[in-house]
Amino acid sequence: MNGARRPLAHRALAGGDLAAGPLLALVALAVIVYFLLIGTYLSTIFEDVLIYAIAAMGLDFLGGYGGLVSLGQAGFLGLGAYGVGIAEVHGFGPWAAVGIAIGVVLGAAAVTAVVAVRVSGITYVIITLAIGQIMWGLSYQWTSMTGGDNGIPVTSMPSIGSFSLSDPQTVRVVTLIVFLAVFGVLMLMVRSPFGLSLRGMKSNERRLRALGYRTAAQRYLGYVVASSAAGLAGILYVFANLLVSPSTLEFSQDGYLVLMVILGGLGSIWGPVLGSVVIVGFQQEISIYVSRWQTLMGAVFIVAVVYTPDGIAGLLKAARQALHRAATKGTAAVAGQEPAVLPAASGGEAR
Amino acid sequence: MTEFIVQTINGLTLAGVIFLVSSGFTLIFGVMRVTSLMHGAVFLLGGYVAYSVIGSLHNFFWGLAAGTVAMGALGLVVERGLLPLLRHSEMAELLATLGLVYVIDDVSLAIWGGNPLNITLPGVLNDSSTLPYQGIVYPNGRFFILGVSIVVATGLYVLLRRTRVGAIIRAGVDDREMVSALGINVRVVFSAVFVLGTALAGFAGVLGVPIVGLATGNDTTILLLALAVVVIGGLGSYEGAVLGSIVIALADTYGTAYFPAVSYSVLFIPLVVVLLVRPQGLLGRGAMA
Repeated sequence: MNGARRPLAHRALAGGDLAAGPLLALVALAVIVYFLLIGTYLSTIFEDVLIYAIAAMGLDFLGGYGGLVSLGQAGFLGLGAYGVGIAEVHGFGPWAAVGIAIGVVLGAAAVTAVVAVRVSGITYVIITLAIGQIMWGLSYQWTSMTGGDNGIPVTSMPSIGSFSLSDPQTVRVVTLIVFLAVFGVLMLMVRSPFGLSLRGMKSNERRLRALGYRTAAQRYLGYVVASSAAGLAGILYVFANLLVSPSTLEFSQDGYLVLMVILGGLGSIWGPVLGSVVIVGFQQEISIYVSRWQTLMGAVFIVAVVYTPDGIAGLLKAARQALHRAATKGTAAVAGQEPAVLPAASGGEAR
Repeated sequence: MTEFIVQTINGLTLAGVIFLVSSGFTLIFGVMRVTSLMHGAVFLLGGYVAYSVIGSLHNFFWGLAAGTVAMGALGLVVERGLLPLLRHSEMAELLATLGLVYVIDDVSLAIWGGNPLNITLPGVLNDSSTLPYQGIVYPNGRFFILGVSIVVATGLYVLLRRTRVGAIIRAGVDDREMVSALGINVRVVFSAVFVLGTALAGFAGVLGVPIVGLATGNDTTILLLALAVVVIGGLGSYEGAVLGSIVIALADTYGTAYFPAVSYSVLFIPLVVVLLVRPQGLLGRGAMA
C-alpha cells in the first residue's frame, strides 16, 4: 500500500545515496573521537587502532590499488620510531629527532624502492619481507646503536608553549589529526591520475607502458608514499608508547598489518581502518578472555581469505548492493504498474 | 685459520639443513605456484613433535620419523582441505598460509611452552672427534647432519632426474597444462609434491635442532633463510636450492662469527644483488620476475 515510500527507506538504509556515505563516515568518526578522548583504557586502544590504521592504509594504497602487497611495512614503522629514539639518544632535541626520523624513513624508502619496484606479485611480497627483516635484524643485532632487545626509551617530547606531547591526551589528538590527514591525502591520491594509473598498472602494466606511462616511476612513488605512512605511524607510536624495541617490527607485526588490510578490504582506504579495529581488538581485548587468541585470529583470517576475499569492506559493499537492488526492484515493480496484490516489494525485502 | 675452517664446516652443516627446507619450499612453489609461508612454522613444529616422541620412546630415529611423517600428514590436510578453497589465487594461498603461521605457532606455544628446548643426538653422535688437520675438535653430530643432508639431497636428485615420478614433477614445473593434457592426474601429483615438501621441512626441523635449537622465532628465521635461498637460486630450481643454500648458510655463519652486529641483515644483500642483476635467480628459467 505504501509501496511508493518503501524504496526511499531502502535507499537510506542501503546508503546508496550520495549523502549516506559521508554520514556513516561522520558517525564512525564521532565514535572514534569519543572513545579516543574519553580518557579511559579504551582511549589507548583507539590510539593504537589509529596508529596501526595509518600504516595499514599506506600498505593498502600500494597493495589494493597497485597490486603490490608488502610484508615489510612494520619495518618502516619501526624505522620511524627508532629514528626518533636514536636521534634523541645522540643529543638531538625532540623536534629535530622527528625531522631526522622523517628524513631516515624517506631515505630508506627511496633506496629500497630501487630494488622493490623491479618485481611484482609474489616476488614483491618476498622482497619486502626481506627488506623488513633487514631492518628487524639491525634493530635486534646492532646493539650499540639500538639497545638490542631492550630497545630505546624516548624521554623528551616535542612541545611548543603549552602544547606538549608529554600529555597523553595531546598525543591522541595529534594522532587523530595525522590519521585524518593521511586518510585524506590517500583518498585524494587514489582518485588522482596517479592513483588511476596505479590501478591500471595492477590490471595491465604492459598496456599502460605502451601508452607512454612511466610505470616504474609511478611504482617508485607509490612505494615511497606507502612506506612514509608507516614511518609517520612509527613516529606517533614512539611518542604514544615511549619505547621502541625489535618486537615492534618483527615478522608477526608485518603479518598483522597485512591481516588488517586483507580483513578490512584490499582496495578501499577505509577498509584497513576496520581491519585495524579488529586486529588491535584481538590483541588487546579478546586476548584477555581467550588465551589462544592468536589461533582464533589466524583462523578468522583464513576464513576471511577463503570466503570474503574483499574483506569487511567487500561484505558491506555487497550488503549495500543487495539492499540497493531490493530497493530498485521495489521501484521497478511500482513503476511497472504491477497489480498491488503481487508481493513485489516484499519479494524485494526478502533478498 | 683454524677458526675459519671450523666456521666453514659449521656453514656447510647449516647449508645441509637449509637445503632440505628450501628444496621443499622450492618444489612446492615450482610445481604448484604456492608460496607456503607456513614452511618455517612446519620446520619448527616437526622438531617439537620429534622432541615429544623422543621424550617417550627415547630414540632419536623414531623422533626423526615421527616429525617427518607428522608434517607430511599436516601437508596433506592443508593441501586437500584448505588449498582447494582458494580458487588457485596465488595471493590467497600465500595469505592463508600466513594465517596458518599464527595458528601453528600459537598451538606450539600452548603445547611446548616458550622456553627453548633441545634434542641430544644418540650415542657416538653426541661426542666429538679430533680432525687430522691442526687438531681441530669437532662434534660428530654435525658431520652426521651434513652426511644425512647430502644423502637425502642425492635421493631427491635421483627422484627428480631419474624416475618417472620425477619426470612428471619436472614437467609440472615447466608446463602444468601440458602435463594434465597428457592424461596425468595432476591432483595426485600436487598432493604428492605438497606432502613431500612439508615432510622435508619436518625432517629438516628434527635434523636441525642440534644446530639451531627448538625455540619460538626460529620459524621466521628459517622461513627467511629458505626464501633467500630460493630467490637467489631461482624459484623452482633444484640446483638453485643447492647453490643458494651453500651461499646463504656460509654468509650466515661467517657473518655471525665476524660481523655479529649486522650478520642477519647482511644475509639479504646477496638476495638484493641477485634481484638487481638477475631477477629470475641465478639458476632460474627467466619467466619469473
